[in-house]
Order: sequence, then C-alpha cells, then structure tokens
Amino acid sequence: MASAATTAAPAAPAEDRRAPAAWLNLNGLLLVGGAAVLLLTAGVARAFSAEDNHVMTRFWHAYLLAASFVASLSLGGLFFVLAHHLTGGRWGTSLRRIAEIVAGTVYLSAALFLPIIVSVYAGSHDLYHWNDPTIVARDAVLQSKAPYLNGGWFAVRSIAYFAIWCVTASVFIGKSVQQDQTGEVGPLRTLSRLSGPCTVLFAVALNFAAFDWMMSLAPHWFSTMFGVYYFAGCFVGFLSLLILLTLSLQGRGVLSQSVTTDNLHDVAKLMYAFIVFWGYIAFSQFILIWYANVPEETEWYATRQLDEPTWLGMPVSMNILFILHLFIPFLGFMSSAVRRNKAAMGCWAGYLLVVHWLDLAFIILPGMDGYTDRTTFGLIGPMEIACVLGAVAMLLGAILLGAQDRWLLPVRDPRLKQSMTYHNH
Amino acid sequence: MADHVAEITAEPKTLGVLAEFPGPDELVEAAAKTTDAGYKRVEAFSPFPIHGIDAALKAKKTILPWIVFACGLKGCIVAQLMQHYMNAAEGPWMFAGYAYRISGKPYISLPSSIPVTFELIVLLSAFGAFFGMWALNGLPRLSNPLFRDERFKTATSHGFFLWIDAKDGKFSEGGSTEYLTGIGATSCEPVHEEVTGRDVPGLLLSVGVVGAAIALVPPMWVAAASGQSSLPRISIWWCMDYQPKFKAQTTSTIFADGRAMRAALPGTIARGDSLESPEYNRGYSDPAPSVAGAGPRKTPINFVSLLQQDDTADADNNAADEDGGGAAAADPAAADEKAWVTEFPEELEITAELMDRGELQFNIYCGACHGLGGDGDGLITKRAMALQQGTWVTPTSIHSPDVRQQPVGKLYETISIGRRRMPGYAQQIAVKDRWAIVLYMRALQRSRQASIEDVPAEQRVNLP
Repeated sequence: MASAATTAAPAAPAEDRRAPAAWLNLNGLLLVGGAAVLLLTAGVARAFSAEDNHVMTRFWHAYLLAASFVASLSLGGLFFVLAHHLTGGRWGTSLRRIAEIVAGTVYLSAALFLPIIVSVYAGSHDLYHWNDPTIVARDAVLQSKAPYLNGGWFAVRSIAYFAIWCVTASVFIGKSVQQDQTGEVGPLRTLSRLSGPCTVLFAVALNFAAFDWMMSLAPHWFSTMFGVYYFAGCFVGFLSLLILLTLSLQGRGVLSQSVTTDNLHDVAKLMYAFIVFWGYIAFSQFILIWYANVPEETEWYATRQLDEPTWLGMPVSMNILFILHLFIPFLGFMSSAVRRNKAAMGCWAGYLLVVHWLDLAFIILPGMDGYTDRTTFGLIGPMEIACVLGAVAMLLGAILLGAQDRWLLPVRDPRLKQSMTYHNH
Repeated sequence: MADHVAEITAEPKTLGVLAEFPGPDELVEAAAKTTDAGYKRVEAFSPFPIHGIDAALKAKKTILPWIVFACGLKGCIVAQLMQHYMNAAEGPWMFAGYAYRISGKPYISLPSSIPVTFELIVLLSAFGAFFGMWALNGLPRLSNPLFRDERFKTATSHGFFLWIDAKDGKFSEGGSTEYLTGIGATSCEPVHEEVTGRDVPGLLLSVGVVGAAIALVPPMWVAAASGQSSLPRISIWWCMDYQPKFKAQTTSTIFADGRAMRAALPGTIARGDSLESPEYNRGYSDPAPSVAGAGPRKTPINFVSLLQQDDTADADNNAADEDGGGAAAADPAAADEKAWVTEFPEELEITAELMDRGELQFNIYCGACHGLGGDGDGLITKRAMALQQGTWVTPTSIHSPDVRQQPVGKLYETISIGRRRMPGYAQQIAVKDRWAIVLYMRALQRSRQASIEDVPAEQRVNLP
C-alpha cells in the first residue's frame, strides 16, 4: 500500500534516490584525511609547545571547538528525527532520512570526544582548571564543586551522554531502514512511542553535556540556561547543514522531485524561528547577568570583554554575535520570497554554519591560559581553522558512510506522499 | 412621495452572481477556469481555508506583511526613543525626561531597553496584523448582501461558493450565470441590492439608545459627586462601612487605659519572638515601669475595665503614672539611656569560633561602610567621598573614645535598629551573629589599645 503511494507520486521516476556513487567513494578519503589534518595540527602544536607551553592549551581548545561543532550538528539532526516522530509531522518526511544519516554521525562525535575524555580522565588540565589539583587546593569554590567536577566522574558522564545518543540514533535509523524493506507501519508506531522518552533523555544529556564540556571551562561560573543556549545553536547549525546537503544532492539530480520547494521553505521557516530563539536565549542569559551585576556571574562576560569601551553597554564580541547571528539573518530571510529561493537559502545556510561556529568559538576560546583578545574573535587562528576543517571533513566522510546502501528518503513511509505534495502559501 | 414609490418599484440592482460547487477541489478548478476566462472580480467562499485557492483566483499578493513590518519597525523606534527620552533626556525645557541612574548603568543603555522594545515590536506587529487584516477585508461592516441568500449560510459548514461581482468588466447577469453553470455549478443565482429595509434595524436602534443612556451614568455620577450636599453620604453597604470592631492604634472607651489594642499578658510572647532573655534579644534589660502606658493619658476613662482584675500590671502602671506624671518625657537624653547590658549575655558562649564568625559577619555587613578595620573608611564611604555626595554621613569609627566606652548592649542595639543614617540590620543578621560582631568589634577596639603585656611572652621575640 505504502509503496503504491510512492510509485503513484507525480514525478518519482525522474530522480535518483541514492547518493552519487562518485561521492560515496570519497568517504574513506575524507575520514582519513580529516583525521590526518587533526593529527598534524596536534603534532605541530606539540612541536611548538617546547617554546611556549600554552600552545598545547590552545590546541586543546581549538580541538574542543571543532568537536563541539561537529557534535552540535549530529545532535541537531537527532533532535530533528526525534521531533518528527514525536509530533507526527508529515512535512519533513522526505527529509527525514538525511537527518537520520546526520544523526548517525553522533558516533563520530563520540570518537572525536574520546581524546578529550581520556586526557581529562588521565589528569590533563589544559582545558579544565578544575582538573588541576594545585588550583583546586587554593580555591574554596572549586573544592566545593569537586564532587561533581572531577576527571573520573566527567569521563563517566560524557560516556553516558554518548551512550544515550548513540543508542537512540541507532534505534531510530535501524527501525526506519527496516521499514524501507518491509513497508509495514509497525516500526513507525514503535518509533513514535519511543520518541517521547528518548527526547527527554536527549534533552537531559545535551543540557549536562553543555555544562560539562563548555560551561565548566569557567568553573566558577554558572548559567542555568546554558544548555538551552547550546541547543538553540545546535539546531540552527543542523538545519543549515540540512539545506546545504539537500541542495548539493539536488544539484546532482538526487531527490530533485521528492524534496520540494515547499519542504525547503518549511526548513527555512524553522531555521528562522530558531535564529530568533537563539537570540532570545542568548540575550536572556546576558541581560539577567548584566542587570544583577554580581561579580561571580559577570566574570564570564568580562572574560569576553577585556577592554573598555563597550558598544551601547554590551561587550563588543556580544554585539558582533548578535548582529551576525540574529539581526542580519532576521532581516535577511524574513521574506518568504527569499525563503523559497534555493540559491539564496543555500547562501544563508552556509553563512549560518560559519556564524554558528563563531558562536561556539565565543563560548569556548576566551579565558584559555596565555591568550587574550579584545573582541575574542581575534583568538581564532590557523589552529582553530585547521581543526574545524579536519573535523568537518570527517563529518562529511561519516555522512557519506551513513548514506552507503541506503535510500536517501524513507521510500515506503505512508506519510511520504503528503510530504511531497503539500503546498505552502 | 413620488420618488419614494419609484424607488420601491424600480428593478433592483444586481450586485453579482453566486454559484455553489460540490466540493473544495471543484471550487479551486472553477475559480481557475473563471479567472482564466478573463473575469477579474472573483471571490471564493468556503468553510475552511483551501490550499491553492489564492493562485486559482489570481489574487493579488497581500500587502499585509508589509503593514506588519512597518508596525514592528515603528514599535522598535518608538520604544527606543521613548525610553531614551524618559530616562536620559533631562533638561530645562518643558516635559523634559528625568535622568535617573538605575543600578549604576548608563542613562542610555541598550540592554535594559531591549525587553520593552521587544514587547512593543510584538504588540504593534500584532495590532498591525489584526487590524490590517480587518481593514484589507473592508471590516467592520454591519451586513453583507450575500447574507440574504439562504443557501449562502452553508458557507460556514459545508458549502463552497464562487462569486462574480457585477463591477467586473466581463459581467452580464445572464452570461455569467450561464458560464458558471457550464463549468459545473450545482446552482447559480444573482444577488440583488436591497431595495427596502435599508434603515438601521429597530432592535439595533433600541440597543443603541439604551447603551447611550447607560453611558451617561458615569459622567453624571462624577458631576453629582463633585457638588456639595448637606445630606449624609449614601451608604449602600452600611454594615461594611460601619463594622463593630476596633482598628489598630485607636482609642476605646471599654478598657481602663483607653486603648483599643491590648498589651501582651505577662509571660507570653508574640508569634515569632524568641524565648531568650530580653537582654540577649535587645541588648538592655527591662526598666521597672514598662513602656506601655507611659506619659499622660490622652483620653478620659468613662468605664471601668472589664479585665481590670486580670490586668494588674497595667493597673500598677496607671497608678505609677498618676504619681510620676510624665517626668520621663521631660528629659529625652535620660529616656534614651536604657539599662544597657554591660557584659555578654549568659546565653552566649564566648569561643574562638564565635570570634571567627564575628569577623566574617563584620566583613560582610559592616566592612562595606565602616571599613574592615572599623575606622569608618569602607569602600562605599571612599566612593561617596570621591563622588562628593553631599548626603553621605561618614560612618563613625569604632575606635573613637565615645564608641569604645559604649556598653556591649548599646553596640548590639545599634547593629539591630541602626543609629543616625545607619539602618538596622536585624532583618539581615541573626541575633547570635550580631553578638558575634560585637565580640569581634571589642577585639578590633582592643587591638588599637594593646600594650606589650597583651602579647604572649613567646611571641614577643617576633615583634620588630
């Protein structure tokens, strides 16, 4: 029945529904090449660390930035899949498989985080001051936080987060692919039931992961909405990646009929909503701290604003981020004409991926030992760029690996027809 | 008269043709055909929004988004200008703003104005969307001629209609009806302009008249209330206006002391009070005559207190008053001097921990103004001096001879209820901590008066 619906879809035969073979062959090259870039950067940093012992600190921050960026995209994909099953949404069914493949790269994120987890467990404090016994010994606040912030418990938690995400992603991809073969709706019903509890687990893990990996870089500081802040960025990043992947596939004649302009228009709308959501969360976090003006909270923003004067009362780096991450895209694709224009949305998606990375750089880079910059974005150097390029190459490799031997859309999902034929106005 | 008759008998003007179609798909198809055929003033009616009907009707793209955008932009600008004008634009001109420094932030500070700006953008955008939609739809209007068509009522439940307006250049009553029937209309009929009954309906008129009359009541009430009258005030709920009860701090003729409020019985404490001695809680012991009942009586006693037998303490005080007659009030300085506690109360165990606690609390609460050494040179004081704030009273140094001589009870009371411009800290600092601060202050005071004998013998070698 479901397959009949698919074949009955208006222009199904004119398109290809698998990733281009030429691309699929690249996955090994991308994975190995990306890993080589990361290792090479680490090697160069190690070589220079003899002269300046802060270089390794800098490398670890650059590496954490790259790993968090890649993880944010995978997690955004996982959320897209979970949210779809949770709400029973039909509009994105034709995009769900691509999201599933991106969610599957959470295994790559786990692999990228493994060096961090192992080194923190082994006592490295290049990243986290709370792991340095000499600092903790003379810091009453860190002593009181030591039962939570310590190497062993950090490693256990991080492994637990990835366990949750990897199992969730495997179940949701596995059942979905299984449904491709059988065409039965049973697996979809199961996923729909699982999506609620899985979303709760996903959200708790994401929240605490943001606390552990990024917030604890400034171990005195705390913000209860920090997890939501990271999540908002994650989803914007993923939707941008989704648009870019879909458009590049369509450029090769893949999914050119199944993914309609209306599908992409809806993704653009969701992306627009999440840009505003990001602005709302980022500003809420800022204004509460700004207004109360309590030193233990302002510390974090003070690190990102090392010099007077501020612009209009806000740190310069914060202003730059708001302009890039909120105001420019807010006005830029407010119009539905822009949102329905594939070329324009491709540009905005690429732009937002870069800006999402800048947002993470704003979170992660300032405050590392030995480096300061007035606007914090000056901290971005060749090492940060090399790390992110390596990690993104590995991400693309992992995506292509996930696309191996799979349809790029859930071909026998009964909701597919609706997803391909509805119209937005 | 002749004109009137002619108007009624004239052929009614045709407004357009209304055609019904069996379902949404047929309606979209018919709309597309009709507009393709050259009709321009075509409108569709359906019980629910139909995807694709806008394209089929070749409807012009709505300008509503631009209205909303303009309103949002207006909200943004108005909010910014309003806040900066009100909070930063102070000057000698009329209707000037009031430059008011809040939390030490700049007068014009963008972050603090963002929430209001955001709200105003949302509010005006919503207004723009809602009222803009009304205006573009020609609302509000009392009635639409289409409502007189009986079948048209099903447009809210299951009817799908297409309407060709008579103002359309291609319109002709016969031709258009024929055309619509030809493309699948199940029924098609013209709608005429109403020839009679164009006056406002009687019911609506009555409602309007009654409403207008009721609307006159508030202004009349205000007018009546602003006049003068020798009559007593009209009391609608008499029993609520005149309740048989006493209010706090008023007089009563029932009790011997003339007060409506009763003093607590000896041996009882109020809820929230502690069971410790008054010396511990207040820093001074109770003088023989209680404060209650002091001073000359202001109200005559007309009745004997019903509670006189139980209230012996009160009666004693009254007797004492009649003898002493307000001598205490004559000497305010003497009245200020209470029976201060001169030694630390027995509830307090003097330990090194208490001293440490006192240091901590002193540094937190007192040090900001008095300075960590108690010299009256805290950070706030220094800042106030730097800013030359005329209203700032320099805190007293705890090392001044006057303060050194004060008994511990008086120091304790000063912390509790304040002195001069210093506020009381009873709300912030617990009783025991206040005593701990007094203890620490004693240590600080002694540190400035120390002699070589105070230093332990084994430590003296370390002195320079």
